[in-house]
Order: sequence, then C-alpha cells, then structure tokens
Amino acid sequence: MGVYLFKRLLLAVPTLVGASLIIFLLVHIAPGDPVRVLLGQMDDPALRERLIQHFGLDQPLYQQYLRWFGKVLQGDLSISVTIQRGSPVSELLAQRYVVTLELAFLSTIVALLIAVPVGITSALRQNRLSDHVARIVAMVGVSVPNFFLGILLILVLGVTFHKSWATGGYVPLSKSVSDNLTFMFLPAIALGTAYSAIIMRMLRSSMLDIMSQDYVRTARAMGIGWGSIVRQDVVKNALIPVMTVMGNSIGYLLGGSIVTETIFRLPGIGRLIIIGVDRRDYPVIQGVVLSIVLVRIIINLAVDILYSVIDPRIRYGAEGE
Amino acid sequence: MIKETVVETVKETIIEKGEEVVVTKEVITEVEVEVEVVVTATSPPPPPTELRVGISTEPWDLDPAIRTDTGSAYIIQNVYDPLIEMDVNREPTTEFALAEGWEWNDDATVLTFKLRQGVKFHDGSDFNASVLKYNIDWERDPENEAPNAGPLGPIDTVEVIDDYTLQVTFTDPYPDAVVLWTGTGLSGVVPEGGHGERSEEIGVAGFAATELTRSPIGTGPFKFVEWVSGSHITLEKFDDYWVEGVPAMDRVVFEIIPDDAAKEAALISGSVHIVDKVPIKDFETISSMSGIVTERMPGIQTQLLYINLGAPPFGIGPDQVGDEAAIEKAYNLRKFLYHVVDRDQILDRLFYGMGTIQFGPWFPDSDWTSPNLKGMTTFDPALAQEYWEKSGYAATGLDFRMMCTNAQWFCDVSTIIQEQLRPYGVNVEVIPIDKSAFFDTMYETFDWDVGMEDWGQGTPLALNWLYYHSYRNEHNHNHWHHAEEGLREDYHETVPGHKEFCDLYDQAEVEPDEQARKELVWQMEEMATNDVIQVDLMWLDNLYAWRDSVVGYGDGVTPEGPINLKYVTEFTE
Amino acid sequence: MSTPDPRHSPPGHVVATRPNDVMAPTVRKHRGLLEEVWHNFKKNRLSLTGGVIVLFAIFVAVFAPVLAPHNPVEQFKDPPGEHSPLAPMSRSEEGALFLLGSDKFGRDILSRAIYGCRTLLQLATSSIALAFTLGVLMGGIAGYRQGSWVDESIMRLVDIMLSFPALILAIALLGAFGIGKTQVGPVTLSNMYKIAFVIAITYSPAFARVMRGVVLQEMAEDYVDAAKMSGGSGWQILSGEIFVNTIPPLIVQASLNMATTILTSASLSFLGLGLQPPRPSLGIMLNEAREYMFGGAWWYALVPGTFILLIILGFNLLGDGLRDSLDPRQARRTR
Repeated sequence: MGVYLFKRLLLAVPTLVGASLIIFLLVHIAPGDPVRVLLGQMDDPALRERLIQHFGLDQPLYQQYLRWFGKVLQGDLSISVTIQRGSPVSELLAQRYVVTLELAFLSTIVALLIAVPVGITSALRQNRLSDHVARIVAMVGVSVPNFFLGILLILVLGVTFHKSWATGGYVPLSKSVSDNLTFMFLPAIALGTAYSAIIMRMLRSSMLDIMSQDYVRTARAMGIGWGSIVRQDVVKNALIPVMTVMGNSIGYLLGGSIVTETIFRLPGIGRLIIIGVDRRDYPVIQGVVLSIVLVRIIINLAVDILYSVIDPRIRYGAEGE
Repeated sequence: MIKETVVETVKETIIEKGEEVVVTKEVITEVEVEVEVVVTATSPPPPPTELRVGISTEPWDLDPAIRTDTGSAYIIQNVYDPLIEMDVNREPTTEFALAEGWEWNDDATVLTFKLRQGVKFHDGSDFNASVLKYNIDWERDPENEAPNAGPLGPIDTVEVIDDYTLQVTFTDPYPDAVVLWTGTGLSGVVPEGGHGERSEEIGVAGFAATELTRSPIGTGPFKFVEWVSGSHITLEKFDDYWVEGVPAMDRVVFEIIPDDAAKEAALISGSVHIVDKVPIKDFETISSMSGIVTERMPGIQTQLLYINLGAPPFGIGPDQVGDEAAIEKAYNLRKFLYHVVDRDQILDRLFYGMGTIQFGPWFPDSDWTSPNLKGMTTFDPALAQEYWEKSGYAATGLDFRMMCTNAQWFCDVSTIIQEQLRPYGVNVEVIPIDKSAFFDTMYETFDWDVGMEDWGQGTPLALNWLYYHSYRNEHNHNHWHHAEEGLREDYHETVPGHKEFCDLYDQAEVEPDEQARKELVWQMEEMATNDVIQVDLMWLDNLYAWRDSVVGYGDGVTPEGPINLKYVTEFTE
Repeated sequence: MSTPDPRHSPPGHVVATRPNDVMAPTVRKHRGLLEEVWHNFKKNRLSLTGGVIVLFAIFVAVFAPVLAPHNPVEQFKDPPGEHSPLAPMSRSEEGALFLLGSDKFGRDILSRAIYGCRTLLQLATSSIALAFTLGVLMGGIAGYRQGSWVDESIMRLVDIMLSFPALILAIALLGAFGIGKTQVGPVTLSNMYKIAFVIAITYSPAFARVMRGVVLQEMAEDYVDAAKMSGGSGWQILSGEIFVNTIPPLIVQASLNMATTILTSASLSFLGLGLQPPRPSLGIMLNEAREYMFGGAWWYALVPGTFILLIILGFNLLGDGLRDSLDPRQARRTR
C-alpha cells in the first residue's frame, strides 16, 4: 500500500512539471503581453522597453520559465501584474477558490439530492414507467449545456418574475450566510443539474450491475427482503464507483464553473482565468492553471487511495495499464 | 415645554375705610418653562447613510501618479483632490481643486500657483507648497517611471516660494500646461512621502504597486476603508474636508458589477444609487422610469479605423517606396473605404443615434476643427463607387483583415462594416483579439490591414490629439513614417506627407498666437483627413443615470465621465 | 472506471477495475457482429430517437442553403420606429419575414440557427476525426512498443493533457494561437480547423488510452504471435489484424465524445473564443442574447439554445444506444 502510494506520488511530479511547462509556453507564445495592457492607450516606447526589462520579459524563454518555476517551488506564485496591482497571486487564488469551491460543493449537493433518490428508484423499478421517465429526464439533463440552463433560469426568474437575486452577484459568507446562499442558489442549480444526470445514470447502472450479481440473487432466494439487501449491500457497493466518478469530476466542475461564473457574475477561479487571459496577466494565468492541475492530481490521488482502501483487489495492482 | 405654577406672595397697600392697610396677596400664574432634556446614550443615533455606486471594472491602482485605467479614476476622484479641476466645458477651474489660482510670466515659461490653505490630508498632515513639490518631483523622476508624467512638460525647476506659493519653470514655453496638468498624476494630490518606498516586496518598476496603490490617502471628502477584490471598495466620510457640507453621505460603497444588465437591474431596484454607464439600448426606457434621473451629453470617445499605411492594400510596402502607381492605388482604396462606410447606419443600429458623426479628427462643432472639413461628405455611395473603380480592385475583388478588440462594441462595428462592403465584392475578415494583442500587432508589425478601436480624448487640446494621432515618427497608430536618420530599422517610409505634417506640428507647438496656431492645426487635420490616414467615425455620447435620492449629482457629470460625489448636496435614502 | 469527463472513458460503464482505467468491452470476434449490433440497437427506442434526431440535424446541416429562408449574414433594415432585435413573425423594412425573429444586426435568427447547426456539426466532426487520428496514432505506437521509453513518454504526455480540464486547455491553446488563419510550418490552418485542432488535442488522450488498451489486449492473443512468426512486420500487424478489432470500442468512444465535443465547441463560442464574425454559430448567438434578455428578446436565447440542446441530446441517446448494443451485458440489462 505504501509502495503503491509512493509510486503514484512520484508519477504526479513529472505530470505537474510537464503541465507547468506547457502552460508557460502557451501563455508566452501568444502575441501581446501585460506591459501592453498596463500602458493603456498613451503608449510610450521608451517606458515600455524599461518595463519589459523590469518584468524580465526580454530574457530567453527558458530563463523566464526557470525563474518562475523556481519561485513556485518555494511557494511564491509571484504578483499579479494587472489585477489589484501588487497583490500576490496566491492571495487572489485563495479568495477566488473560496467562491468556486463553494459553488462546486453546493452543485454537488444539488446533484446528489436529485440523483440519489431518482437513481435508486429508477434501478429498483427497472423498465417501468418511472424508470423510463427518469432516464429520459436524465438524458435531457445531461444534454442541456449549463450556460443555456443558466440563461433560462435568469430569463424565467429574473426577467419574468423580477427576482433581483436571479440576475447574479455574490455576497461573501462572512458577510451574510443567507444572502450568500440566495445568490448561490441558481448557479448551483445550473451547474448541478447536468452533474446530477451523470451521477444518476452511474448510480443506476452500477446498482443494476450489483443487483444481478450472484450473492444478491442468493440472498433473495434465501428470502431476505429487498429492503434490507438494498440498504446493506447494494447501495453501499454501488456508491463506490459513484464516488470515483465524483472524485474525478472536479475537472468537470472547474471547467463548468468558468461559464457559470461568467453568467452569474461570481468572483471565482473561472472568471479569474478569463480576466487573466484577457489582460495577459502571465502570473495569474500560470498560477490558476497550475493550481487547477494540482487540485486534480491531489483529488485523483485521494480517490485512488480511497479506492484501494475499500477494494483490496486492486491494491497491489499490476503494472502498465 | 412644561407648564409650571408659580406662586408669588405680594404685599400691597390698599385703602380701607380711609386708612392705609398693607395686605398680603398670593398671585398665582401659570408659566410655560422650557426644559432642556439631556439625551443620554439610551437613544439611538441616526443610521449612517450609505451611497452605493455600481461600476463596471475593478480599479487597478489607486495611486494617481501611476494609474492608467478609467476604473481607478472613479475612486481617485473622491479620495483625492486635484491640483486643477476641469469643468463640464472642459475648461480648467479651481472648484474642488487645491490650486486657488495661477499666473504665467510673459513668455509662458514660468507658472506660479497660489495654493489653498487649511486643507488637511486624511492622515492629518497639512497640504502646502512643499507637499505639491514632492508630488511633481516624484512624477518627474524617471526612476519612478510614472506613465502619466509626459504632459507635465519640460520642467526645469520646481521652487517653493512660500508655504502656499509654488513656482514652476519650464525650459521652453509651455502655454497649455494648466490644461495638460489635469491629465497627469496631479489629478490627485498625495501627502508628502505618500508613494512610499520602492522595495522588492511591492514591486520594482513604476507599475508595481506603491503604498498608495491599495491604500490611498488624499485630501478628498472620503477616506479609504477597504478594497475587496472582485467585490467592492468602501470609502467613508472625511470629517475635516475643507468644503462645508461635503460630503453629503457617511459612506460610499463602489460595487463592482461588470455585467451591464445586472447593474441596470440594481439601479432600478434601488440596490445601487449611481451607475457609471447605462446600456445604450435601455437608455430611453430607464429615462422614463420614476425615481431615476438620466443625462446624456456628448462624450470624448472617438470610434475609429486605424489603417496600416506600411503595407498593401491600404499602404506602401518597403519595396514600393516612391512607387507613384502603388501610392495612387493605395490612396484610391483608402478614399473608397472613407466614403463607403455608412456611419449613420452604425450609429443607429448599435448606438441608437446617440453620438455625433465626425468630420476629421476633432469635435465637429469646435473652432479647432477646420471649416473646410465641417459638413464634408462622408458616406457617399457614388463617390465610393468611383474610387473603387479607380483603385483597380473592382475588377479583381479584394480581401483584407479588420482586427477589433474583443470588447464592448468594436467587433460589432466591424461586423456592420463587413456587411456594408460585401456587395462590392470585398471580403473582410474580422479578427476579434484581445486588447494587448491588438496593440502589439499594430505597433510592432506590418502584418495587419485595418484595426477598429476607440480612443478616449482625455485632454481637450486638438494639437495634443494630433501628437498621439500621428506625430511620432517612431511610434504612431497607422505606420505613417517618413525617412529620417535614426528611424527604426524595421520601419520604412510609407505614404507621403508625414514630413510635412510633422513640420506643421513643430511650428504649431511654439506658435504664440492662438489664431495662427488654429490655422496650423486646421492644415494638419485637412492633410490627415483628405489623405485618409485613418477613418474617424463618430464620437459617442456619454449616458449617465442615478436615483433622484442623490441630489446635485447631475452638476458634477462631465464628458470625461468620472463619478464626482463632491457635488452631491443631499442624499435622502 | 467511469467519470463525467468522457475523455477518460464511457460513463455508465461500470466494472470494478482500477480507477482512471478504460475498460474495453469484450467483443466477440465472429461474423454476425454487425447484425447483432443492429438488432440490439433497433430494439432500444431511446437510441432510435437519438438516431432520428442526429439524422435530422445532419440533414439540416447539409441542406442549410436550401432550408434557410434568408442569407444568414444579410443585415436587414429596421422598419421606421422599430429597432432590432425584432420579434418572431415580424418583417424588416424590405419586407423580409423573420419566422423566429431577428438578431441585433437585423439578421434572420432561423437562418442563422440553421447554418449554425452546420457550423457546429462541421466543427464537431472534424474535431472528433482529428482526435481519433491523433489518439489512435499515439495509443497504437505506445501499445505496440509497450514498456519502452516511447510508451512511457507518450502516456506521460497523455496524463499531463488529462490533468487539464478540457475547457481550460482549449482556452489556453486558443489564446496562444489566436483567432484567424495561422501558419503552422508550411500549412495554413483556417480558423475553423484551428479550433477543431485545439479541441482534438484535448480529446485525443481518451482515444489514445482506449487504443493502447485494446492493442495490449490483442497483442497477447495467439494470432498476433502467429503473424509475427510468419514474418509480418510490426506495422502490417498493427494496421491489419489489430486495428479491425479496435474499431468497435473506438466507435463507442467517438459517439460518446461527439456530444461533449459539441458542448465544448458551443462553450468556446459562448465565451467568445470561437469563430469569427459573421459566421453563424449557436454559441455566439447565445452569448449575444445575454444582453437582450432584460429587454424581453426571449427568442434570441431560446432558439440557439434549443437547437444546441436537441443536437447534444440526439448524440447522447445515439451514443448510449450504440454502447448498449455493442456490449452484450449492458444490452441484457438495459433493454
């Protein structure tokens, strides 16, 4: 177990380094730079030259990369060039992650609230009308782009019913819990709906899988009621792959948050990267992407560990695939 | 008021049976007494009044000497006072300014300022001439790399004459100094030493933060309280502000609401009281709503098409220098572009008619615009067709690229122009790119054809605009260069006329007579417009909206557009 | 293992294996496979619906010039006193009828939506085709040279690419390459192919993994050793026998990714990172519609949104159906 864990950790390192290299290159290849944005319209070539030198943008790329990555390893994500000038990127990240993680968390709750009862019921009443309806609804749910759903929600609640909180905005938890939740309500639904459909389908098919297994059929043959079987065995075992799905979906949630945050004006990580790209704020773009990669790696690792703890069969997994 | 019964015992002498008798009487009167009731802490004070302003973009930097974005101006306007203020007619004024007056010497080389007395900074220090000297010197210092220092001019010395008199000596005559200084860091005067130390922590270059970047300290009616990135900035009343009755509210919160629709909704519902701009299409609807006041005034944002004069089809490539035929062909194509764009259609469709079509670079009704340009034909399909055929492209068709900044309406304008050109067989490729890449491509390469953007006319001086327009041979928007010693290696001479233009500018800069200067400016404008160096489309109107509970705000709105809360006399919320 | 990011593997496909794994469904290698698949497929009403929707979308895309009532880029004039966007069933000053309304430039929304379908499908198909090609190449080489440094480095690259959420990688790549034509060596990529290429890069890891997995499985089979012994070269074996058997799982992967590719393309346009004006694009139309919602122009958002929804729905149903038909276990359960 320790060996497995260690191996995985070791594999994460080149992944992180590789990711940092890729994002650095991509960002610096693009035309334009933060100095251009800073100088505004009254541009002065001499000043521009001096600023480029100060930011080290005239050095060869590999030197710039080493300088940046070196600092990252020391925990210094450097300073944003264009956002609240002078603020450390790590501070910006911390502020914004709070919002995005809250959104992800609430969306997950919304998703689970819908998916678990529907998925279980659907599996138990397989092929009956309620199952078909549930599956169709799940299909539609998975197919609705989250930005369309967001716009629809705003259209219906904000425009037609004139709810001011439906037009977007954000109030920090520290200021007011009730206001915060009011503003987070619609975005969580927009992001959580498609997610719920995914979870529901997963839950349903994994439950069906298990219900057709031998040990369950044996228990039934022995006269044990569905109720206790479901409660004790089926649901618990079905939840394992579901949990893996959820663990892996942090990427989905982070990607989906970009659009959701844009529509509902939430000051999260998704919006930050859009602003960063627009202003060519290299430290911000690099910091955000690197942090996202890191978060994914950590969560993947955590899921792997969880999985290997729960299912000893794969603990000492084979090499290769 | 309390009624009290007062009893007075009075001795009176009366006459009874012929004899004098002293009698005691009781006179009873009821008196109303005013009783002062001392109120102790048990009765609550009135709640602090909080004004909320919705702004579109998050400010970048609250240090007036280094900020370059508009968002910061909203806060700076209210935390600081400028040395010289600009009124609604874009003339310098001393209202809400720290200068009480100024005086030139005979040849416009020495400017003496009389400064206001009794003004305090938020940190308690006094404003005086040596503080002002610190402000000017800091900005001038090349080590500080202040981007707004250019308009300060060719300063030789800055001398403190006495506590409230400062004398600035220029090396050359600089008659427009007073107006130009409103566009420098002196738009907000900072306390002595306010910019702070430059250290590795905050950042090294002038664009790195100073101590004022996130904690501004000025003489303005509001003190800085907090800045929560992505959310809001809070200011509170400065009790020692040097103008009585200002400010009219206890707190101001600038809410950052990038989404126009949301900002509008907030204004309508009352959750903000002032917004920095109104979506054009909703202006009329909002104007008729009760509780909301709007104002529309000509603005200073010119919408224009930059043209690359350094490469075909609109210009001359390095191998075509001096090639008369090529020059003529490019000229005809530019004239075609000038006359084919239906500006009214753009104005109506995108801006609901709220703007002014331009004749040349400057404001159409100003006397700094050449009379020969006023009323000239802009959109003219017949003329356009003529030039189109003359250019020779009518036979072959034409493909060219129009880049536009991927923000606001720039790519929308491009889309309309693209469609207007389609019937002629012109294929316009519209390229939306971010602002930084736009300017990078424009200045550093010849690999573009036309660019659509706008420009905020910060300084109300026509000559000043012509400087940024085309003067600098080593750096102008349209690659209008003439051959000279020291021209960048990768640049080449492009469309003719630039040398003449620059000579006219040099003359105008030192011309003391205003009328003569005007005529020189007119000549430059005619050159640039008739040769279609760029296409100046229209000025857009500024649209303001606020709630009627903010009384007096309308007196402070100007074409520049900052949010000036100093004019608010009453806030009834 | 299944995840909501279909670059990893088909969702809904549950087997207790190691996480981050791709399970290639066991395919019976005998004739009649196609008949079996078709038989299973026909029985599933939902997938039939999906198939119909997809066919209809393809029909619309192919016959767009005939079906669209107006030129999608033509900007019509507003009648006096009115201002675009105009409501459904209104007319322009020239008399053109807008069945589903007009947009802010006075262009017919129905025509733009029809052409938008075409653009979206073109984009999605080229993305998938490119992703398929790239992935198959990477996965095939890695699998064939299993254990070598070639295998290791390719799979590491795949890991890295998978660690970026798809949308973010696409944003970064598009930001780097910019919009408009780009020179990649001697080749000029048009804007559309550049976007397809970017999306393909983000989806190719999934194909690579599937390919590699199947190649490894097949290589362990006897017939490969036989082929090797009878003197076949590596490439021949790879492209011949092995490839045939990799097709089914790859098709499943492709059909599932089709839906998410469409979603990614639409999201990119929505964020303003997609196509250039005046190209009709459903995502761009949705983005434009946002500022007109409060003015009451509900059709501006509803039309493109519904089109996107239906297309994605069609491909999801189809993909599910295909996967169910190809995997006998699934078919047994879900019918």
